[in-house]
Amino acid sequence: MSPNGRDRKGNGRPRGGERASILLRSFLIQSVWNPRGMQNVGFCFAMLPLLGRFRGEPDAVRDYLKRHLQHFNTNPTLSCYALGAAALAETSGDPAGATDAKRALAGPLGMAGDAMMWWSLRPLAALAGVAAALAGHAWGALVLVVVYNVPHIALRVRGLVVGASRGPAGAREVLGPGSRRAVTLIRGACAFVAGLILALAVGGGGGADIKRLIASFAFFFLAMVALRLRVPLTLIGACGAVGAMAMLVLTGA
Amino acid sequence: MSDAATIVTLALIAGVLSLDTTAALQLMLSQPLVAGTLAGVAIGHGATGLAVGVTLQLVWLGVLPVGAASFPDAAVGTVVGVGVAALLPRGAGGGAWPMALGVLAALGVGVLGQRLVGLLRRLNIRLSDFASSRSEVADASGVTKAVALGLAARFACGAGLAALGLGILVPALRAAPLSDVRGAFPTVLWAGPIAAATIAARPRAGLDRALLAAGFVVGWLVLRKGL
Repeated sequence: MSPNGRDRKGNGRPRGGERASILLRSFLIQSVWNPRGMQNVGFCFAMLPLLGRFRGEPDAVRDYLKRHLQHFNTNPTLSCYALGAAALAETSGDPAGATDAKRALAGPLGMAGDAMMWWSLRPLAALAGVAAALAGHAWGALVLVVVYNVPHIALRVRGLVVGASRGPAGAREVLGPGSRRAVTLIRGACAFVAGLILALAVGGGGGADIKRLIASFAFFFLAMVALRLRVPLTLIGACGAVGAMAMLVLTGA
Repeated sequence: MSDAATIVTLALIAGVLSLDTTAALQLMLSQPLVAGTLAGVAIGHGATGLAVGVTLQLVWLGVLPVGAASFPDAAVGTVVGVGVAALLPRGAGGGAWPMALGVLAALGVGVLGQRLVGLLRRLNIRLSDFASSRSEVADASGVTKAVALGLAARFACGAGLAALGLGILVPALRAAPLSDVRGAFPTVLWAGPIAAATIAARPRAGLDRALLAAGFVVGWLVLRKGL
C-alpha cells in the first residue's frame, strides 16, 4: 500500500502490460495536436492504462485526467522518456512528480529529438531510399522505412523502459554528448549519401561520361550558391520539381 | 480497374497515409517515396508510383513535421500525383509527360493540404476542450473519443482532398490541349532535384562537404564500373 492508501502493485513501477499499452498508445500522441494544449490529449490517452489503479476513486481519476491534459509538447519519438518517467511517478504515489517530470523533460527532449530524428535520421533514411531507387532498385521505399524505423522504434521502447525505471534521470542518455555525436555522425552519412545521389542522378540517364561529370560539378556549385544566398526553400522546391520533370521526360521513364 | 475504382482506392490510401504524417505512427509511410510506391502498386502502376515518389521525395526532402510547423501535405499530394500520372493517356511521349503533370499536381495538392491541416489543428482545440470537460466528471472516455475523432477527421481530410483533387484534375487535364509543350525542358534543369537533395543534406561543416564529395566519387565509380 502506498502512503495515500492506494494499492499500487508492482513495487511502485508500471507493470509490463501497462508499459506495453503506454508504448503502443505513444504512437498516437499527436492524434489531437492543437495549438493550445499541443500533445496534451495524446499524452493523457497514452497514460490511460494506469487509470485502472484508481478504480472507485472518482476524485483521483479527475485529478489524474486533469494532470495529464495539461499542455505538453515534445518530439514524439522521445516522448516515451517523459511518458515512462510520468508513469513511474504516478505508480510511486507521487502525482506532483509526474507533472514535474513532464515539465522538466518536454523542452530538452523536444530539442534533442528534433535534431536527432527530423534533422538527421529522416533525411538520411529518405536519401538512402532515393539512392536505392536511383540505382535501379524497386525497394527504395523499403530502405527508407527500415533505415528510419529500426532506431525510431528502438528509441521508443528504450525510452519507456528507462523512463519507467529511472524516472527523469533516464533521459540523460539522449540529452548528453553521446546524442550530439550521433547527430554529427548521421549528418555526415547524409552528406555522403547526397553525394551518391548527385552521381546517380547525373549519370543515371545513360552512363557516366566526362560531360555529365562537369555538368554535375556545375550543379553542385549552383546548390552551394543557393545555400550561401539563403534562397527560399519554396523556390528551390519549384526548381526541383521542374528539374525532376525534365529528368523524367529526358530519360523517357 | 475503372477510373472511379482507381480514385476510390487512391483516396482510401491517401486517408490512411495522411494519418502517418503526424497524427499516428509516424513510421514515414507518408514520405513521398513510400506513399508513391504504395499508391502505384495498389493501382497496378508500380513504376509510375516509384518515379513520382522519388521526384517528390527530392523536392520535399527539406519538409519536416516539427512541432507547430506548417508544411505541405506530402502524402496526399503524392497519392494524387501518382493518380494523375497513371490515369492520363500516355500519348506519343510515353509516360514521362503524365508523370511530369502528376508531380505538378502533387505540389498544388500538397499546399492545399497544408491549409487543411492548419484548419484541422484549430478544430482540435474543441476536441481538447471536450476531453477536458469530460475529465471534470471523472470520465476518461472523453479522451478516447477525442483521439478517435481526431484520427477520423484527419483520415477524412486526406481521403476527401485526394478524391476531390483526382476527380477535378484528371478530367480537366485530359481535356487540356497540352501536346504542344511536350518535351520542352532543357537538360540544365536537372540542377533542380540535385540542388534540392544537396540542400536537404545540409553539408555546412568541412567534414560533411568532404563526405558529400566522397559519396559523389563512390557513386561515380559505381556507375563507371556498371555495378
